[in-house]
Amino acid sequence: MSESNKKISLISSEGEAFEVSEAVAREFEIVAHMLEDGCSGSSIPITTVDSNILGKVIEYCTKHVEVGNVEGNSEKAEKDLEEFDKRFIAVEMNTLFSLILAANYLNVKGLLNIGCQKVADTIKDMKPEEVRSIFNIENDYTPAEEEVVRKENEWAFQP
Amino acid sequence: MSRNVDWSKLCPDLLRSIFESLSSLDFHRAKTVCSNWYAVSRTSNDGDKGWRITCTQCEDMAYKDNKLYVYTFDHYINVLDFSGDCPKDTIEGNHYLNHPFPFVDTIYKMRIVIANSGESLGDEMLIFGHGVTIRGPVKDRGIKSGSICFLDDDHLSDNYLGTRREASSGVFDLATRTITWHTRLDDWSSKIYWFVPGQT
Repeated sequence: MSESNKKISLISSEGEAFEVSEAVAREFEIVAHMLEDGCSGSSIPITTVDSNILGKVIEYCTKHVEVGNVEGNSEKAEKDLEEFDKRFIAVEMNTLFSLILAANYLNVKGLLNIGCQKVADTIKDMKPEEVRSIFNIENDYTPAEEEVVRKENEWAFQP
Repeated sequence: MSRNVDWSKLCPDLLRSIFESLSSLDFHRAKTVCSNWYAVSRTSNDGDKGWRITCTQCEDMAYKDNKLYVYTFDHYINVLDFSGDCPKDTIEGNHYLNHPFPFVDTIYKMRIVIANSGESLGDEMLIFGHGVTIRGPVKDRGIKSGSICFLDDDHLSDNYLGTRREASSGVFDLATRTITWHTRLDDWSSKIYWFVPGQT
């Protein structure tokens, strides 16, 4: 069997197996390192990522491997991929959080980048109160402390 | 997926990379969200992002329509756009990007001036020392269209050649490329020292 056809099973935290091609599995840098270190097993446990999120990360990597394999007509392919990324990352906040953590742990750089960018885009032009409610963050400042921090950055709150 | 995640606990490295892609306005607002975000923001190496404009020493500046034009010691004109959240170095739309303006001939001071009428001085006179232009022509006041008014110490040849000692100011006509010298006693030149923009 040629290497590109080799299948690898990624096992989610619930024990569910996801069979993917080696090329897709290698998009997870953590897996690529394992394979290079001579880990010969055909199933790799991803214990910190649940099935729902692992499935999504695999979907992302599969798409990127597919597009990477197509030769020529690269401008259109790049545009399509951008569109795909945009749709892919338009998820609710809890999923986004889990995707970023998973991308960080599995070391999928492209996914990590679009995830972080999505958070940055969400924060854009928002007041701190709005950010807190969207990201479910408790305001742990005392009113006096908050006043100090606000004062420090007063110019950012001018209309 | 019903549990609500706590974004304040996102690991510092990730938070830092998110903060570093924010505009400076959003960055400073994000600090106020919670103490953890504040702590992480302090370790972001980009606390003053956007305001750290690298520019060689500047010879002169002029500001118009939200844009700051900086004439640098290495003879280029940088254009900084102040219309957005934070000042931006204008790359596109800076016609002077690859066009150095070295000192020429006997002129050793450089001034940057934005004329009201586009590329040329048109019907304006540039008062070199003040970096302002005045609409001309104004008879009897010596305001001549399309010319530059300067003082003798702006021009090297006087100091070197020692000629025209009595001259105190000159007018360079852009069209004819000639300098007309005037003495301080000329009836108009004594009036050129103080100009208040907009009140000519």
